[in-house]
Amino acid sequence: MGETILTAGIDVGASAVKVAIVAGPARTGRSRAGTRLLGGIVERIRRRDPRAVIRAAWSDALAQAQVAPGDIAYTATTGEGELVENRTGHFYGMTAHARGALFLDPEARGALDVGALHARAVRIDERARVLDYRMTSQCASGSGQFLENIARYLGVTLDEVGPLSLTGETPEKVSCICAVLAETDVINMVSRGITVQNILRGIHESMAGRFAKLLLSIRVGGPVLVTGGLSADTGLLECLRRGLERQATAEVRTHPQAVLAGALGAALWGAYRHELLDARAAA
Amino acid sequence: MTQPSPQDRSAVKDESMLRQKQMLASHFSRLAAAPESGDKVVYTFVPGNLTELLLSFGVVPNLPEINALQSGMRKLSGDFIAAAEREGHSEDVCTYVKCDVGMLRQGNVGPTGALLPPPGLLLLSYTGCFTFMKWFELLQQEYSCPVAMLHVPYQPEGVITPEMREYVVRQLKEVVIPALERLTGRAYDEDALCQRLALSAAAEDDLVAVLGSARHRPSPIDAYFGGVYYLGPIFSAFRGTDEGLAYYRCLREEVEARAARGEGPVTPEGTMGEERYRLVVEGPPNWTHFREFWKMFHDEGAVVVASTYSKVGGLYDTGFRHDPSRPLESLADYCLGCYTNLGLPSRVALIERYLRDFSADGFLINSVKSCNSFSAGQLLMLRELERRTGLAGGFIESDLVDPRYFSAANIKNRLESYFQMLDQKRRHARPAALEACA
Amino acid sequence: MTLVAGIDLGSTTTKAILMDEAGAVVGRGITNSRSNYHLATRIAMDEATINARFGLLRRDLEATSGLERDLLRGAAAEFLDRLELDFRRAQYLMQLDALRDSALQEAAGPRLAARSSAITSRLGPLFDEMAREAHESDGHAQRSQFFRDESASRFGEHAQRLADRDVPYDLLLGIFDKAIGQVEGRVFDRSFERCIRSALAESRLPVAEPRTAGSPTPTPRAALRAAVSAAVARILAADVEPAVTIGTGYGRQRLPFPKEQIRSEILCHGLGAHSMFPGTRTVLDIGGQDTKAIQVDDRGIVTSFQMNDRCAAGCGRYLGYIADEMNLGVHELGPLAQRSTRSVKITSTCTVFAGAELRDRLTLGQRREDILAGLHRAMMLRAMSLLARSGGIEDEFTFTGGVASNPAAVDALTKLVGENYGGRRINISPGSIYTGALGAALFARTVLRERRGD
Repeated sequence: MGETILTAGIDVGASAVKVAIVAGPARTGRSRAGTRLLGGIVERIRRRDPRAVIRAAWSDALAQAQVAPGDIAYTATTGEGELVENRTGHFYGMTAHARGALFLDPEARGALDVGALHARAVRIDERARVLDYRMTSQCASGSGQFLENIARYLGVTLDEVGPLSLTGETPEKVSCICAVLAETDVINMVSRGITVQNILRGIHESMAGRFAKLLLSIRVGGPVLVTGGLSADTGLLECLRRGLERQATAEVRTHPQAVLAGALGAALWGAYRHELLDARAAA
Repeated sequence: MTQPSPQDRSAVKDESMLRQKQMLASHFSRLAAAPESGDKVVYTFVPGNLTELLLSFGVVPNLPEINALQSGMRKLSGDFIAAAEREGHSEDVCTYVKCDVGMLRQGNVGPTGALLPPPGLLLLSYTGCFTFMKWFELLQQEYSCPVAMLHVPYQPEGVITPEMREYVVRQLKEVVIPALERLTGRAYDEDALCQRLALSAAAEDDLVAVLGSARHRPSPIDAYFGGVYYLGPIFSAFRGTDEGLAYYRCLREEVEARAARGEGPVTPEGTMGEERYRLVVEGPPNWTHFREFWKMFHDEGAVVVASTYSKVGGLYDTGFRHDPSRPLESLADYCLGCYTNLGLPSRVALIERYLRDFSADGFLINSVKSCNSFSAGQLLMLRELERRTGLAGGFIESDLVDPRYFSAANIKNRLESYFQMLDQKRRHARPAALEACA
Repeated sequence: MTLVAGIDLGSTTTKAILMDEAGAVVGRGITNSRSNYHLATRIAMDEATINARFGLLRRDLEATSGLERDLLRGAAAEFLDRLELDFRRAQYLMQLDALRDSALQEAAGPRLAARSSAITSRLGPLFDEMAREAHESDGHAQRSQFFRDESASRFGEHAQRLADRDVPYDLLLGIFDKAIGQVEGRVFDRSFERCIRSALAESRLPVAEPRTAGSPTPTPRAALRAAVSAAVARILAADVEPAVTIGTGYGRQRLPFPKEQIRSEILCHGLGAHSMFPGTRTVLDIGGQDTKAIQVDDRGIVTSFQMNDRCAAGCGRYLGYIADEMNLGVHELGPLAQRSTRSVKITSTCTVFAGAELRDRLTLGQRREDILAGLHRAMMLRAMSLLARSGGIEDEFTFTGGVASNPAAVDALTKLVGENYGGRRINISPGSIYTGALGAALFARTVLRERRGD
C-alpha cells in the first residue's frame, strides 16, 4: 500500500454545516481515484452561533473518522468558509459541488444543489469541469428555507416532508413569487382544509418546476445528481423526475451522501491542491 | 324542446355570443387550412390594424396579441411563458411576447387547437409600442419573411395634423400596399377597399351604440369585461365584412332590448344584481384570471360603464368612422387615433368625459407593469382625474397573461377597500365638482 | 353596558378591541395568528375580555367605599399588578404543561421509538427548568408576549445545553415544533374566572400593612384580599360579550365572519388613525406582510391608498426574520439599531434573504447595530416610495402597525419624511399595533347605532 493522504472539507451553508473527511492514495492528480469517505457530519445551525456549530461538527467528524486534527493535511472550505478558523484554503461552491457530485456518481453530468436560500444548477464533464452554471434569481420562494419554514408551520419534520408529499394526490398549486406571501398562501390553504400532503406536494411541484427550468436552461445532457440539503427529500425528487421526464431530458439521481457533496468536493480539491503545493515546494 | 327554467337563464348564451364563437372558430380553421388552401397570411397587431386593406387583398390576418390573450384565458400562457423564459427571455419582458414565443416553441397550436400557419408578411401596424417592433423582430428571425413597418406618429396634443395623416398615407402607398402586392401578386383594388370601409362604418355605428348603452341605469352592458367580447370581431378579422356587420346589428338589438327591459349586464355568474357602483376602468384586463377578476366586481355589484381598453384597437367616440370617400386617409386617421397613441392629457380628458357622460361613481386603474404603453404615467393620470372630478380613483396591479402576477388576495383586498371607500364617500357627501355640472 | 368589538386578523398577530358605546376602549387583546383563524380570533377576544375585566376590576375597586383612594393607590394597586402577573403566569404554566405532554407523547411515538428513553430523559429536566424559570420570573424578562415565541426561545436555550450526540439539538427542536403546533391548536380554559382564582390564592400581599389615610389603625392585609375577591365576584357577573363584532384583515380568504361584518383593513386603519389623532391626513401602516400608504380626509374617510403587491420585502416579517437570525426578540432590534454610529447602506429588503444578508455583513466585520440601522433605513425607503405613490405627505402624518413601536424604524422614517417633505407632524401611538382593530371597533359602533336607529 502506498502513501495515504487525509483531507477535510467544511461546507458552511445558510442553515447547516457539513464536514467530510476523506482518505486517498497520494499522487492521484485531479482524479483522486481510490479516495474513501472516512467521516461525514451534517449539523443544522438553527439559531445557534455558526462558529460553535462548526467546532462541534468538526470534532464529531474527527471522532467518526477516528483521526486526530494533526493527521489532516489540508482543510478546505466552501460556502461561508470565512467562519472556519482552521481552514487551509477555500473553494467556490460551484466547483466543490461539481467535484463532490462526480465523486458520488461518476456518471453524473449535471448537479443540482438545492440549498437553504438558492438552487444552483451546473453542467459538468467527466473531469468535473464546470461547463455551464445558473442559479435561481433574487427571490427565495423556491428555496429550502421556504420549505423548512412551511414544514415547521405545518408541524412536520424535514424527514417527514418527502413521504407525505408522495401521498398527495391533488396537489394545491402555489403561485406566489414571494416566499413570504407564499407562506400566507399556505396558511390560507390550511384554513381551507387542504391536507398537509397536498400542500407539500404543491410546493414540491412548484419548486421542481423552477429547478427543471434551471436545468433545461443550462442544457444538461446526462444524469443529474441532486445535492445539498434537500437531496434526501423524496417528494421533491419525484416531482423533479416527473418534470424532467416530461421534457424528456435528464435522469434525476441522488445518493445517500449527496448532502455532503459540497464538503466532499472541497476535501477532494483540497487534496489536489495540497499535492500541487507540495510539488511546488519540492521543486 | 323544453323551455329553460328561470334559474337556467343565465346559462343560455345570447345569440351574439354564439355567432361570435362560430366566427372565431371558422377564422382559425381558415388559418389552419391556409397552407393547403393557398391563402396568404399576414401577422399584424390590434392597435391601428388595417383589416379592410388586408381583406381587400384577400389575405387572412392573424393577430398574435389575440392568440396570447386567448392562451391566457385558456390557462395555457403559464407554460408558454415558462418555455420562453427557459430560452432566456427575462421575467420583465412583455408577457404577450413571451406567451407567443412559448406557443411557437410548443408547436404553434392556436387557441382553438388548430395549427397556426407561418406568416407571408409581418405587418407592423403600430409603432407606439416599441415592444411590438422587437416582437416582430423575433418572429422575423423565426420565419425569415418580410416585415412592412408603418411608422405611426404619436399624438402628444391629441390632434391629427395634416402632415401626420399625409405621412401615414404615404407609407401606406409606398410600403404597405406594395408589400401586399408582392405577397399576393394582386394589384391594389381601391373599389374593393371602399366597399369594405362602408361595411366597417356601419358596424362601427352599431358598436358605438352598444357601448353608449351603458348610459342607462342600470347599464345593460359591462363595458370592460363584457366589452372585450364586443370588441373581438371589430378589432380582429371581421371589420369590413358582412359577418361583422351582422354581428354588431344582432348585438345592438340584444343590448337595446336589455336596456328596454331594465336589465343589467350578463356575466358568467348570471345577470348582474343590483347596480351598486358605476365605474370607468383604465388599462387592459388580466386574462389568466379573467372570470375570477370579473366575479370580484360582480359580487360587489360593480359595473364598468366605460373602459379605455375597449378603445385599444381604435377610437370611435369622438366621431371617427372609416370612410369610403377618403379610404387611405381614414385608415391613417384610424391608426393615429388608437388609444395608446394618445398623450396623457388626451387620455385624461377622455376618461374625464366618460366619468361625466356615464355618471360614474369612480374610476379604477389596472396597472400592468410589463405593458408600458398603458402603465407609464398612470399614477399621474389618477391624481389629475381625482383633482378634476373629485371622484375617487382606485389602483390595482396585475398582468396580462402571466398567471404568477395575479395575486387574487391582494387584488380582492384593494378592490374591496376601494368599493367600501366609495360607499363611505357616498354616505357622507357628493363630490362638489360633479354636482356643479349636474 | 353594551360593548362592541373590532378584530384585526393580521398575518403575524391577531388583535381585538372591546369598546363601549361612548367609543372608549375597555379592553385590548393580542395573540399570534395561526392557521386556525377562528381560534386566533377567539384567543384575541379572550385576551381583550381579560384585559377589560382587569380594567373593570380597577375601576370597581376605585369606586368601592370600603377601600379608600389612598389605599388603592398604594397597596391595592400593587396587589392588582401582582395579581395580573400571577394571572399571566398561571396561563403560561397551563400551556407549558400542555407543551410538556405533547412533547413527551411525540418522544414516545413510533417516529422516535428507538431513542424514546434517551429523549425523555432530556425533556424531563428541560421542562422542569422552564417551569422553574416561569415561577421565578417577574414577567419582565419575557422576550415576547406570545407563548410560542417565549417558549421557543427558552426551549432552544436549554436544548442547546442538554443536546449531545445521542439526542441532537435539531431533534429536540423538531419535537418542539410538533408540540407547539398542537398546543396552539388546543382550546384552553383560559377564562378569567379560572386563572383569577388561582392567582388570587397565590398572589403575595404587600409586605407592609396598608394604611388608610386618616385612619389610626392599619387595614388588615386580609381585608384587602377580601375586598379584591368581592370585586372579582362582581366583575365576573358583568357582561362583556360584544353586541356587534366587525372583523378585518389582509390576505385572508376566509375571515371567520359573515361578509356584512367585514370591513377593509385599509378603511379600518384610516379610521383608527383618525380616532387616535384627528388631525391625521396620511397614514402609513406597516404590517407583517404588507405596507399601506393611506390618505384620509378630516372625518377619517379614506380618499386614496397604495399598497405593496407580489413582494413582501421590507414588511414587518422582515424584522421577524432578522430577530430570529440574531436570536433576539423583535422588540430588542430597534434599541440595538439606535446605538449605531455609522449606518451601513443596504439595498435588498427581501425578507427571506434577510438572514443571509445579515450574516454576510457580519462576516465582513460590520457591527450589528450599524447593520441593523441600515436595515431599518432600507425598510423605510420602501415605505417612502409607497407614500409618494399614494400622494405624499402634505399634512399631519400617523404611523401605525406593529413596526411603529420600533424606535429605530420611527427614527429612520422621521428622518426620511423630513428630507422629503420638510417638517411634518408625525404621530405614533403606543397602541399603534391596535389601529386596525380600533377602526373595526368604530365601524362596529356605527353598526350598533344604526341598528338602534340613532
